[in-house]
Amino acid sequence: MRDFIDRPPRLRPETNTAASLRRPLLHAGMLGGIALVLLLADLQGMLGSLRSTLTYLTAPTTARLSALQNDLHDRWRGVFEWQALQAENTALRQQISQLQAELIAREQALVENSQLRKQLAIEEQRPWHLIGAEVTIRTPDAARRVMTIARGSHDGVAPGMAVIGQTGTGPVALIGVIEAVSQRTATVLLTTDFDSRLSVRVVYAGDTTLALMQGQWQSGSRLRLEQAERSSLLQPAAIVTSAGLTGKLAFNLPLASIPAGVPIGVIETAADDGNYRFADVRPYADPDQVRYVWVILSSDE
Amino acid sequence: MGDPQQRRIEVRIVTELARIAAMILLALAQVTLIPAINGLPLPLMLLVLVSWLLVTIEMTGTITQTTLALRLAFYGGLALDLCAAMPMGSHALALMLAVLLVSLLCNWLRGEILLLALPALAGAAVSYELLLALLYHLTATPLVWQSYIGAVLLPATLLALPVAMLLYLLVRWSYRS
Repeated sequence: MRDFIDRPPRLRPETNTAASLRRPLLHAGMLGGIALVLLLADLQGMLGSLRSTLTYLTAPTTARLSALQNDLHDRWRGVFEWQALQAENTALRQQISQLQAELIAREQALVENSQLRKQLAIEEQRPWHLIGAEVTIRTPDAARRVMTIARGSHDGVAPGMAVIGQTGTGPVALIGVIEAVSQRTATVLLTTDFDSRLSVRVVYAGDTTLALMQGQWQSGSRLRLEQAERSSLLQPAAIVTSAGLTGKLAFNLPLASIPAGVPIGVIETAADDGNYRFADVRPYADPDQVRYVWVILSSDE
Repeated sequence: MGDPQQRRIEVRIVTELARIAAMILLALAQVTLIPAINGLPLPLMLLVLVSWLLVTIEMTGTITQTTLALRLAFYGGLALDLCAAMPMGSHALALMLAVLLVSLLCNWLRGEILLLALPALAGAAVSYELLLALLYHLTATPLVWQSYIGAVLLPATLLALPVAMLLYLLVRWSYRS
């Protein structure tokens, strides 16, 4: 009540309408005239240099403010357009997934290209016809040393064929023999498996001898040579290659597919056990390390 | 101590320069910071000027601040013309027309300003957009008015109105407090 008495309502003062309008109208007319003159001058191209100078001067500020606006806009979108962003995010994820698949395919192509180049180099040096294969499975079974490759009977792979591989900068060497095939895959028995027995040729100091090589993984070693025709040649640093005896003798056995002269390894140590001499061989290619192998389909020899 | 009359002139010049600077900043804010919604930019300069004018008319009970509003519209319009790809003076004319219309409307109707605010703001927005469109029509490419009104003018006005009312109430509240 007291407030009402103390603060009388403010009434709009009575003014002379014509007088109060005159000044704003005059002002508007004057400024409007200037604006019209500027407009006509600009349309005639008379303000071009002034405009460009002023635009040049304000450009840094407008650029910064626009960047700020973009940033603010992004944040705004993040808060209010979450559904659209979610959809965009999903689409982008799909795109990323697709690009990753393409990248993987490209990298696979590069790897394949590299492997094919290696294959070509091997085929140029050796009279072998090869087919490359990815190592797909390494059996996690301590009892056997086998691997599965992504080639099978469909690709011409057959039991008894030699499988070669390469680790590091070492030479391409025998790592196993095809043990079983299915249409698209094949099981390789590695040379280090205890079940693996191959006739090999030992080359030492310009001389050569035949011997029997057996895998030793299950007994804590890798490869062992024994039953050499001339045991005196089982010396450290002697080179061991496949003998290809089965093929030479024309036996109709799976191992007949292993050509002669496939590098296997080098003798590391040799020892005598009475009248019996044996040697431990270090393979050129570690079967546990290879990721890609080649199957020797046939040989021109 | 200096001549008091000279001091008054200096103060007026500084005040006017500050107003020009403020209008340039507002124009820069309009062309850079304010996002366009569905391609329709928000006429921040127009809304600020008209809201401020409505509040001053309500506070003083007169339209004496219209001259100042016209000057501010002139400065701000030239700044907008500089930033936008329009001939110099076009935004200035459009803003001054809007300010003048609001002032005349309030002077003519003399009602409660709060009730007049919405039609005044709507009229200001329509006149502003129409004059700019007319200048574009005359100086650049002829417009098809029917489609322009339906596709641009009405949506732009409808977009501006809620923001204008909000801005007006904000300015009113700040003046009163």
